[in-house]
Amino acid sequence: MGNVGRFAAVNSKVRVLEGRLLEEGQIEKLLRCKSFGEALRYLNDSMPYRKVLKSYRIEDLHRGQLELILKRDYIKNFDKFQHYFNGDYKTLLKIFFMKFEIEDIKIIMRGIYIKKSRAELNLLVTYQSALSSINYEKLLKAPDIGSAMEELKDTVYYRYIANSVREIEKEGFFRFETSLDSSYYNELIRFIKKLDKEDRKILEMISGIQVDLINLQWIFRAKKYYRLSPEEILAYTIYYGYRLNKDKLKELCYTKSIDEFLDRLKGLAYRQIFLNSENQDYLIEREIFSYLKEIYTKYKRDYKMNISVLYAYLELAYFECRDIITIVENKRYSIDYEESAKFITAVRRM
Amino acid sequence: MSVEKMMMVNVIGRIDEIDRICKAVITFGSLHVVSAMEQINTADFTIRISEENKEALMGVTYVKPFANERNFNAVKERIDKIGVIYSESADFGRISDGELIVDYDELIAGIDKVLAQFEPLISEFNAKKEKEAGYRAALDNFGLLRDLDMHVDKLFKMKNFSFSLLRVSAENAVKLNHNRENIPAIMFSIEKSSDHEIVAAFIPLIFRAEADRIFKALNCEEIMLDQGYEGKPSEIIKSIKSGLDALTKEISLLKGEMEGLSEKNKKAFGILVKSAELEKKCSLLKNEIANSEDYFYLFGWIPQTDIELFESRMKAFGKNVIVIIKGADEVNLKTVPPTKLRNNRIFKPFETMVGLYGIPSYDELDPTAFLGLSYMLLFGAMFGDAGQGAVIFLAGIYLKYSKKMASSGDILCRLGISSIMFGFAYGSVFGFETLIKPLLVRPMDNIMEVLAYALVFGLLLMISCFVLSMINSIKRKDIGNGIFGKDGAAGLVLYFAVIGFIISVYQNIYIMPGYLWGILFTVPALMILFKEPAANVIKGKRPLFAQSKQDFFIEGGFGVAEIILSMFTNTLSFIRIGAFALNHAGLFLAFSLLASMIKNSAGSILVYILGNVVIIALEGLIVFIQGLRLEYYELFSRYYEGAGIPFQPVKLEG
Repeated sequence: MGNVGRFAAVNSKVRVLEGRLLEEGQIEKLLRCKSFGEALRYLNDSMPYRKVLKSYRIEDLHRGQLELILKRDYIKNFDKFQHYFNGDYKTLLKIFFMKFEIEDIKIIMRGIYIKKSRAELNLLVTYQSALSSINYEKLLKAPDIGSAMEELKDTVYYRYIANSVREIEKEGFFRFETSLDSSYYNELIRFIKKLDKEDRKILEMISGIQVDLINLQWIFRAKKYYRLSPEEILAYTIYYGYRLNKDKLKELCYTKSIDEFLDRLKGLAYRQIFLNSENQDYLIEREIFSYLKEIYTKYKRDYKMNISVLYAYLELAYFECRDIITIVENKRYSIDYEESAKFITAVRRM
Repeated sequence: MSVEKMMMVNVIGRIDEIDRICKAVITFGSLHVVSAMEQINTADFTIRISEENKEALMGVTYVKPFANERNFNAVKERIDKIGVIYSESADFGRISDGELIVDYDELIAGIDKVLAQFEPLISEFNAKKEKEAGYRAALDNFGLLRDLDMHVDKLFKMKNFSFSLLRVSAENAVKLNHNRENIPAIMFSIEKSSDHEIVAAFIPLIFRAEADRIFKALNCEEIMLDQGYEGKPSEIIKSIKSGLDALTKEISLLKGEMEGLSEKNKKAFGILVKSAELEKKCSLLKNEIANSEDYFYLFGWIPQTDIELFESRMKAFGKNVIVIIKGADEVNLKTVPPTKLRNNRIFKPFETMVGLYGIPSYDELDPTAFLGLSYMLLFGAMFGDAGQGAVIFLAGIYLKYSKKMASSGDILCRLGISSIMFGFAYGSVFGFETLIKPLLVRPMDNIMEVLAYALVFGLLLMISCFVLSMINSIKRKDIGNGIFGKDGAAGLVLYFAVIGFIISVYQNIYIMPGYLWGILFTVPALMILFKEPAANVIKGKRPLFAQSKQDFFIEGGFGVAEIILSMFTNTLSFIRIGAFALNHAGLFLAFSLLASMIKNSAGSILVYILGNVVIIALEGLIVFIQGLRLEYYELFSRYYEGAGIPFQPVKLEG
């Protein structure tokens, strides 16, 4: 099937759903709200979210619940789009979905480890969808990590985590979660080789850029806080980036200081991310998202008959979901406009 | 060829006999249970007042749904354990009802006793299996070192180095190899596959901690070598293999022993498994039961023919049980009796096809015989071929006996026979029309006649439908549909008028004067139009019109026009019978043309065979579906509702 045939319907659907995304002005307004309650009321009154919040009493909603509601609503996008694809592209959508499933697995495994009650665990289930490969019913019943692993045996994740799960008792969740995270990019990079040339190029580029940015953020943090040996830092990176090949990555891991690290980034667009955030680690994430957002917005604008439109929509919708959660969180803790705006991708830097 | 008469049975028994009586009901196997609470709550639950019924009668006011407190899981868990020894499909042979264990505690004890015999064998078996798995892992691990020509002691007992075998995922292996120069270990890759790599690493003891951290970061899994073995890897592998062989023999011996023991206990097991099944069914049955302090109440339907047997079975409990029997017409209207079809052997398989559409209600005609007969005729007429019919017949036999699909197989056999008969009538064998003389007509030479026959046949079927529909209306005492309905008397008259008129115009025959035609059309049409108010007048119901008069006339007017049109088109629809008879011959003609174009005889034979296969598979399927379509859409929709409840007695499987 040619790409026009494959994406004509999908892209029209994306157009419709994009129309429901908030405009920058609306986010700005939300950000200007004086209190948590006001923000919730605004959210309820601004069109697209009324439907989602309809069945709740706005006054009783607390922040955590709202987060869950928004995320569960976001994941319905995947349910919608799965009907448009079959074969390899359905698998691709499933792989995109892995990113969210991984979040659920992490949080559930932690929940099981500290022996949360079944009712509490149920509240952790965020991204259940028709694409789910894990059996939530059985997983939540598992009394301990070992039996939870048994339930994950038939999933793609098992191969990645079977080894590190044994050390959780000794060393915590770091290695377990890192290997789980890496499974997404490994599966994605491996799978996109099967796609048509046009889509392959797009996905190789966009996932490559994501990998680059994750790697940079990791190396930066590792250097700044964790004092890991360069060998270890390198071991936790993800290969197959877009602009940073493995030799460049190795070079960056073996830099002696933050300054040298930034020096080596000269000539790369990524450097600006670190300069913009003034080396403040907590702001880097937002800069990364803004950087990616520009790419996605371009995809959205170009509206080509390929995977880029759908992918951009899925990411942009997720950013919006994140932005709203962040804003509402800031309102909840009465943080002022100037400070909150720093964490939001939707508002341009002043 | 009818729906069986049903009787409502109330069983009232002493509560302490509930198990025995329920189980007797289940082994009797022909009672369709209904909820006792619902029955008691309807007003017509009556018991004759007499001295012996006194107590049972008194309890009725305190009746409540039976609370089943017995835990069936205890039985299930034990039976599952037996399942380790016996496969689920094991054939335990015939077990008579008398051998079944009725008492619950006795059942549990019986299963425990048998299980106890197996317990030591099972635990020994599991231990051996575990040991076998250990051997296999060791075999795999030392297999990695098979090319190493030295004593493993030298690896395990180095002074300044430690030796590790590491499994690394493919993506991490890339990183490991990329950064080799910075990792404080000497490494050899000894095995590579698409998703992982095995690395042998010699690590200087002073760098051990550092190297371990890096390996951990790369998510390496250390393969543990059992240090109890001595000698060269090749020797170790040899010794493990011989150990494994011996163990395998032991395991198979043990298996044999278990099989012997299970063979010896087979009969006892069979009884236990079936008794457990009985217990399970019993607990399901109890959900529908109600009880008072001393008595329980069980309600159900039993076919009239089985009533005597049931009464004699219940006599065994003497005074502990009272059985009250009522006819279906004595029970309140809300309780609809279930439908049990009774058909002779020829039509029995077609019950499945009726079931696909819906089971007839208790007071409806069983359409199975009519469907069976007409469907066989339809299929045969459309797919008339003595040779291909025989193939279908054989396919039916195959399905029935090899695939255990009895009803599908039986239907295919009957269709095959019908096809063979029509094959002789058309003079067609495997598509060849020259081998035998047709007994009736050769479709391709008499195209118009064949189409006309098809229409006449359709006409007859349609008229039968009107008759069947009227019979159903009479059975249901439904005057409205019977006289005024579009499938009732009025519809039939209108149908004759339409058909007669078309024939007279088409054939240019004078039948009757114009005004008579007018009457013949308008009277039944008006009857159909005023069906609802007219029926209401007869029954004395008010209001006459359920909706506004304006809507009624607009809707009704179009409705009548649609009915007249559809009578015409439905009849025309039967032309397809003739068309498919022609199509059948035509399709083969195409193949025989192809065959004659191929000059060598082997090729032509191949085309003939291929042609026959295509025709049987493709046309056979199409004709099967078209026939079904005529039955369901053209015929069933006229006279059949199919809203019945199937008769499902509680009984033991097999």
